[in-house]
Amino acid sequence: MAEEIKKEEQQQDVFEKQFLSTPQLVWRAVKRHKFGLVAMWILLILYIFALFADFLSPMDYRVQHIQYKFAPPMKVFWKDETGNFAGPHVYLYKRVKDPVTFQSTFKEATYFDNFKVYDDFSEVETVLRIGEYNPDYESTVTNYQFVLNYKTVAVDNNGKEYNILTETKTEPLVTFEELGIKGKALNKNEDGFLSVDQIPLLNGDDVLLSVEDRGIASTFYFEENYKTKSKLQRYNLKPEDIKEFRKYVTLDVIEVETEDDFYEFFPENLLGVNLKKFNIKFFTKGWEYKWLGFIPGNIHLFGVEKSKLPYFAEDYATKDGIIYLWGADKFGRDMISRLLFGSRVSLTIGLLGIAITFTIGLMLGGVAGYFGGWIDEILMRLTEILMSIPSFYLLVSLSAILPSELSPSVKYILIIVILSFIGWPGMTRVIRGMTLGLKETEFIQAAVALGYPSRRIIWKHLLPNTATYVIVSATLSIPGYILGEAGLSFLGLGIREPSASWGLMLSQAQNITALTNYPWLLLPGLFIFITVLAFNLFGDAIRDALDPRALGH
Amino acid sequence: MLKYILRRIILSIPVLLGVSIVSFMIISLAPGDFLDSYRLNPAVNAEQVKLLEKNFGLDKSPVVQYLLWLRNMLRGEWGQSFTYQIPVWDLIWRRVGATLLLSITTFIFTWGIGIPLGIYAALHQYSLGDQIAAVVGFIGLSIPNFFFALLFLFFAAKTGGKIFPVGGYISLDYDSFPAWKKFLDIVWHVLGPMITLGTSGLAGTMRIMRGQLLDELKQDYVEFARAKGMPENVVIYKHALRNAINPIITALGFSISGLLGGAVLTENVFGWPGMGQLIIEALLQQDIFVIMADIMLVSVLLVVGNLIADILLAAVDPRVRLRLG
Repeated sequence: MAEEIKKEEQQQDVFEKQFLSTPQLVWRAVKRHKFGLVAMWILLILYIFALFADFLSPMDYRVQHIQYKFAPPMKVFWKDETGNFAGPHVYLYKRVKDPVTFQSTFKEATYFDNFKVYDDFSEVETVLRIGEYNPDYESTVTNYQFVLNYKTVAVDNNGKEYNILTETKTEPLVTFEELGIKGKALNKNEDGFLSVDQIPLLNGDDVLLSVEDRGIASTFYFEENYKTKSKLQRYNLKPEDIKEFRKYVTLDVIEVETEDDFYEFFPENLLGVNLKKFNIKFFTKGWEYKWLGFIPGNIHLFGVEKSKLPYFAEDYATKDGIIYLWGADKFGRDMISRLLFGSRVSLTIGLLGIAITFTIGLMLGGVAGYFGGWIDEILMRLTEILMSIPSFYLLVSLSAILPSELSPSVKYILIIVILSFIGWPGMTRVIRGMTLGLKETEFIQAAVALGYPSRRIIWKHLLPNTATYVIVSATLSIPGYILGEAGLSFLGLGIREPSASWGLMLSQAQNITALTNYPWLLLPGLFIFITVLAFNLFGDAIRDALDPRALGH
Repeated sequence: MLKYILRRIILSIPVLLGVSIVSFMIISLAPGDFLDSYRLNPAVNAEQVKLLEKNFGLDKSPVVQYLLWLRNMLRGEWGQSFTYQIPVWDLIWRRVGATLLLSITTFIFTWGIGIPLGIYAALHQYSLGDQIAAVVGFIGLSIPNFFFALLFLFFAAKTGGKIFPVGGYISLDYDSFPAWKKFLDIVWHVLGPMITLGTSGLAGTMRIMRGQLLDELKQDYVEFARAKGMPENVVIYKHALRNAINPIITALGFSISGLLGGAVLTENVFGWPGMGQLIIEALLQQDIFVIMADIMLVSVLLVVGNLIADILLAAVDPRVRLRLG
């Protein structure tokens, strides 16, 4: 049985060798190379991503949200605050600054989707929702904000609390810690609202936000913060009397604005609320783009609805739905979107560069090798000179002379030209060497004897015979172009803001604080690495596949 | 042999001259010059700028400027740095040291590990070790220098700078160290840039070494030596290896170029005060003489590197020696 299968395979092998065309044979050889095949698929996917970058980006890659500078990747929640499954959703971020260490962090925050209040002035119960007409007030609600009291108290060794600092802030958002429901599951009543008595902040309670022990906090409050220092002195408190510091938040009032009027609601007026969450939706409408430069569209693969909170916090109300699944950069731009648009530059630069280099290399190398003599001499001396300058030095020098006020597309083209300029000497040398060898072969001698014009011999006879080498070498040298562009942009000499390229994005990770605190800034480097690795593996597979021995000729 | 070396040195002169012409051409193509910031500065009047132009020789045509530069350089005067107002040579001297230190240690690292690993992989073809080496090699070849440098710094910073320093050339209290500690301090600082700069070279050396040795082991003379009853060690290390190492030595010249080029980015990330950092600063300031000196020096290093490679090649391979006559 096994014998038969083996025999059949052998027969098939013979059949394939005789009847398959060269491309089929190449494909068959590539398929044998498992890593190369995987690499090919990865590259294909990356190029498709680059092509459809607009559709795939949830946010506009140029729009800055300075509020969300260095926002970490958002957590995707599946269950809502009642503990029930609610589909994937995210929350907005609120920046929270530690009063002592001044370190700011982002916390998931929310506002009311809609809420029910009792108005003691007009004595009605009414439901409010941003952007919606309210029949009781005969007006549209435009905005609301939370007026929050932040209180810092010092606790002495007997457990007695002394108020040392009170700050009032008007905030569009509240975090789950501030609401006092972090990690708790709430219930909804029959009319669909969360009843307020489960939520400590809305109940009017003091919500404990944090407890600081006496480490740096002690020095800070006693010496550096003049407001608290005088308070502590008035209470006659000394650092050794203090056990800890506590920070509380209390809801003072909710300010609601309608088109014609302004209302304030105290916690006791609140009857029920619904907390806002942003569901991740597919094929949603978002920022507008022109695909391939001319087809307008606004459909995106995924995204969230845009936040309705208006002018009090400009940044919370944008044309984009705010969603940072892979974090944000130093201008608050979405990393995913920038990676996608950056891939357009980083992935095409290699292909275009290789095209230019090979045209030059084939032409000059072919001419030099075929004619020889003084043409060869001059060309080779020139390549030697260019090869004697370390390529990256030459690259950096060339791009440093470009004027900085060029438009992004011109700059992009010039960088490709510069990269090709660096690449041509090596290419020319190799093609020349091959041509020199081929010139002596019989079929070329025959062509010369037949009196074919030189141009025709070079193009039709010499160069096609270098094709195998050229294809392999092209695939293997694309990474060089990608790395060259990335290196230049990393140094600030390549693609410029607000355009994106992987190297440029990575340059934000240059400073050591950014690097350690915001490690997602390293993502572009990972993509460069994957692309280069894939090109190397794929090139390796192609090299094996184009080897005449593998093709069975 | 001596004749060959002499001929090579003489032949490299026109090449270096060409390099200087090309570099000067590139620099003169740049719009504006070093004095642009003075011209825009209202506190500096036009006459002062004129005077400065005359002092720096910026009022002459690029060709004259080039010839002047060439004359001075041949006399051993490298000019003044515009930015620092000190002779270029003083500025570069320390940088050359730092760059050479980095290149040489990197070189030892790449060869010292790459060649034995390549030999091991060839002798244990398709073993687990060989395959791991191949995967690591591919990763090493594909990881961009500056990304690897960032990862390295990330690691160093996360461990609090205890295992590796977070960039720089020497520690802050370097001056107070005794001599042996100064040495160790520099070695400790060079490790990071060395490893990042060396990984790709290491992978390349390893792969070439493996392929070459495998090719040689298939040759008839190896079979012959074995048949003669020569011990396996002698066959491999004395005969096969000697022939296999040939292309690696040829690659030496190129690897120096790669090192110096790659060093620009690595030095930048690690804050290593080498020539790579200097040239970027100088380019942004259009500090002509520094740029020229920098490029010339690096090109000379490259030419010298190639020469050393060729001499080594002749020393190792009798066939080459024969050809050189």
